[in-house]
Amino acid sequence: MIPLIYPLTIGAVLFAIGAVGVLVRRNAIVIFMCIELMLNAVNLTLIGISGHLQVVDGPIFVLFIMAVAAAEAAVGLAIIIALFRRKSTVDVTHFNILKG
Amino acid sequence: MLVAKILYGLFALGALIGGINVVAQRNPVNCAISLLFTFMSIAALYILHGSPLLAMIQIIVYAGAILILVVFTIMLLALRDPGQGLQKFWTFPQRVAAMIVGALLAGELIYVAVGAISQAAAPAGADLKTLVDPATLGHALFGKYLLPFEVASVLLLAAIVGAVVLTRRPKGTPAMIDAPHADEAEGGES
Amino acid sequence: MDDLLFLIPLFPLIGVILNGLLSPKLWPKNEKLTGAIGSLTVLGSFVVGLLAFFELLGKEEGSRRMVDTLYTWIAVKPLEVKFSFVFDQLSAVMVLVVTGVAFLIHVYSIGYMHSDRGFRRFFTYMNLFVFAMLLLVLGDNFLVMFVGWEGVGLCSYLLIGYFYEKRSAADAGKKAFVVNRIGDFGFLLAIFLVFWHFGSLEFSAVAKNAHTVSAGAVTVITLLLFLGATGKSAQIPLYFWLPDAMEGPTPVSALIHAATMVTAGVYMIARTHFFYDLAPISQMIVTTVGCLTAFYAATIAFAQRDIKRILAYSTISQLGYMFVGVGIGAYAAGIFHLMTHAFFKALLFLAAGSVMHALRGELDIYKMGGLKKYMPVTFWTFLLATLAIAGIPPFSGFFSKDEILWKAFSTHLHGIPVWWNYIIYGLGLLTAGMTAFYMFRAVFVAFFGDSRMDPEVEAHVHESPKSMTVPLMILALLSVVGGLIGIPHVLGGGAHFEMWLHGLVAHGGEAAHHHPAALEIGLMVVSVAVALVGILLAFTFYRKKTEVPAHFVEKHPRLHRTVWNKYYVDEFNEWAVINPIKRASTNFLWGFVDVWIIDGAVNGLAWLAKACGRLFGKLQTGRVYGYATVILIGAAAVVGYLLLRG
Repeated sequence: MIPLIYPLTIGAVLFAIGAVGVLVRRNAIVIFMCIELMLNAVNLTLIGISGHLQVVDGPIFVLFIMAVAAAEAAVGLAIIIALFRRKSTVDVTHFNILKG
Repeated sequence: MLVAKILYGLFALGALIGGINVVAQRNPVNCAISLLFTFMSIAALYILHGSPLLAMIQIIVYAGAILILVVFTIMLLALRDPGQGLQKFWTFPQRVAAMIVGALLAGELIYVAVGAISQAAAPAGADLKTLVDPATLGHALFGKYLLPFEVASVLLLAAIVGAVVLTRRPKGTPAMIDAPHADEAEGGES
Repeated sequence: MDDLLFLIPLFPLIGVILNGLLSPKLWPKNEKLTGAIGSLTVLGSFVVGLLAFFELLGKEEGSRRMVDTLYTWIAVKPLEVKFSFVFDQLSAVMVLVVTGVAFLIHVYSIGYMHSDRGFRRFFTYMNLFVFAMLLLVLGDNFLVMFVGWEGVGLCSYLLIGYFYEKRSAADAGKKAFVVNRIGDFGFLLAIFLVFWHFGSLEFSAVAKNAHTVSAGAVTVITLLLFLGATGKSAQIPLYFWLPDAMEGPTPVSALIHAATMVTAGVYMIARTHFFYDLAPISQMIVTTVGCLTAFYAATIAFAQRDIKRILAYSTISQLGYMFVGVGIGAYAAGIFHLMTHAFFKALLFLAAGSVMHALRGELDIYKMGGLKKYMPVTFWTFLLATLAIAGIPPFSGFFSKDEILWKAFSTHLHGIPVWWNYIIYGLGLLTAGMTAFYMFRAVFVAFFGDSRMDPEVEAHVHESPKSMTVPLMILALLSVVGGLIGIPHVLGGGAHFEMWLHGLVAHGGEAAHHHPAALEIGLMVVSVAVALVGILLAFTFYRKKTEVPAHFVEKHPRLHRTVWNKYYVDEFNEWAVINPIKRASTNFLWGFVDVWIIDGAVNGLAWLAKACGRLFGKLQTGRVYGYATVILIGAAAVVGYLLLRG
């Protein structure tokens, strides 16, 4: 029905967009959103392939990815909040105390 | 099924536009909205793939939980746009580097995709209609994938505990944001 | 008895442990007990040695050999060395002489070292020395012998530098050890060569196969061994430590430098006779060096005033005779002289010690005089010893020295012309006369005539206590009769000594049995005559016309000074060897090698570590976005690699 190339290409492009976003944005929360974007791209790819191969592992894996993404969101945002308390900013250029 | 393909292309376009917007918008709230748009489009794509279940789960988890959290955080931190008067993007070299990396990744992945396609013959009926019904999914989840399932639940627990611990305030420190748009954000001592 | 041989070295070792380690805690101030332990352990060794000797006597010729193996010491293929002792005719002689004389000296020391602060230390070191010496003479292979060799070197350092607070004593100990070490270098090289050629270090194994190796190799081995011997036995060129070694207490000089340690070199050559028998060139060299040393040392003794120095140079000189003996292949004669020399030289030193003890440490014979009426026992024993060393029959020294001279005259070495023998004999004869002369000079000046002592000192002069005089008397007895077991055939004796060792040391060189007996007797008469001439001259110059020596010194001041300063050998060494080494060490080895190369390497490593750290530290920028970039680039790279690989 849906040719395999569709989900694969779209997933690839979305993944690349997300990667660019991670590297380009300075706002930590936006970076986080781009990461979610990347995860979604992966999900799409998985669904596509598993449909193509007619196995159930794809959707299962997608489920797990979603669960992990949720957990990651919770913790990641908590970290951002804690950092904000420290530095009053979410600009990642200011988080450089690991220097040296 | 031409209709399906057209619809697929439409929603794919929507996802792409949403993704680009996430990266390009100044205001983080705008970014969040674009992300929502992307999520929705992808959910539609899932339906086209033949698994409405996953689409629903996508909306519930991503749009309904994660995105809410993100928006919550943005509001909580009362971030002004565009980020306390700082520059939105990196310097030019950084942007160029990012573009290059992005192009590289996209190129590689598409190359893989094409390679995979050329090797495999698409079977008829490449969709998940029969696969992703609750019964099959349930069997797999509680059968073959029982351990990952349990581990995932522990992981969620850990995440909750971690989130609570990370954002604890020592006793006596006043809450950071009393009201929205508070000016004196005592960027708390922790 | 085979299995009990280890007791011989064990007893003194027990003495070391008891006196050295336990006595500070258990009986710190009890001199009597320390001295008794020290002496009795040596006596114990002597008794065991005696028993072993009787057992050997009971065996028949050819099987007179007992071996006691303690354990396999080194077992690293292909080197296998056992820690084992061998007791054959040669060992018997050495063990009995060493332990017997050592016992007497220990007893003497109880009186001599009375109330010295380091009494316990003294006896510990003395026992340690006897232990090491016994290891040396009982060793069944080169390595055990070497252990003993080094051990006696160490103990001589410890005992020479016994009065360590005195700078000159500490220096003397150091000098002895360092010079010994140079000789040991030669010994070690010889051991390496032996192992290289024979694959084994055991005397019996090497002896059996000695002829399988080229003459050149054997010559090199023997010369290297001899180098070790010159260090230990104070021959040219490594003799100059011995006079300085007189800094140690007199019993030490008696034991180490007269009776036992310095004779280790002679023993070594006798033990390795199977090599020397095959290398006539080495034999010639050994004999020549020994002869020259004997003569040379005697000339120095002429001008010395310190009684111990006179005895030291006479020791070097007599050792030269022993090397003439073993060098020419007359191993029995060399060992015979070793034995008699042990008796009379130890006696001479102990008697000198007795004199020093009475005169509160005075050493200069010109500050003595007329002692014979104050110290009769010391005088008579000293006189007997001097007669022995001068070679007057029937005292022991005559038989042994004469045997050596006869063998030197009559034994022709393969490839060496006969006139060389005559030169050696002539020089030896002359030295014998000189020996008689300078020894009797000492006797006449110190014991006869008017007293030249400090009045202070003279008031307290007395004969020494019994613990000192009894050993003197025993040694005197041995000096007198000790030669009788070696009376040669020509005089009707049984030549027991030579016969005893004959089974062990087959005669090297072409035996000269075709010399008529009359020649031998004739030469004997000549040597007695020469000795008597020497005594007469001494009597003339030092009793009758005592102004002659003083005149001589006036007329030849430079000659006298040169001889008195031992031909400036020490000064030459200082200039030629020691100072250049010191300069090289300071400027080159320290200034360059240590500071620049070694320190440089270590510091350089540290610098390198710091530089690397600094370099890699630059990776840690702390910039989050940088990290992210790198991560993603890495991911892209991995995927790319997998793609390319197919």
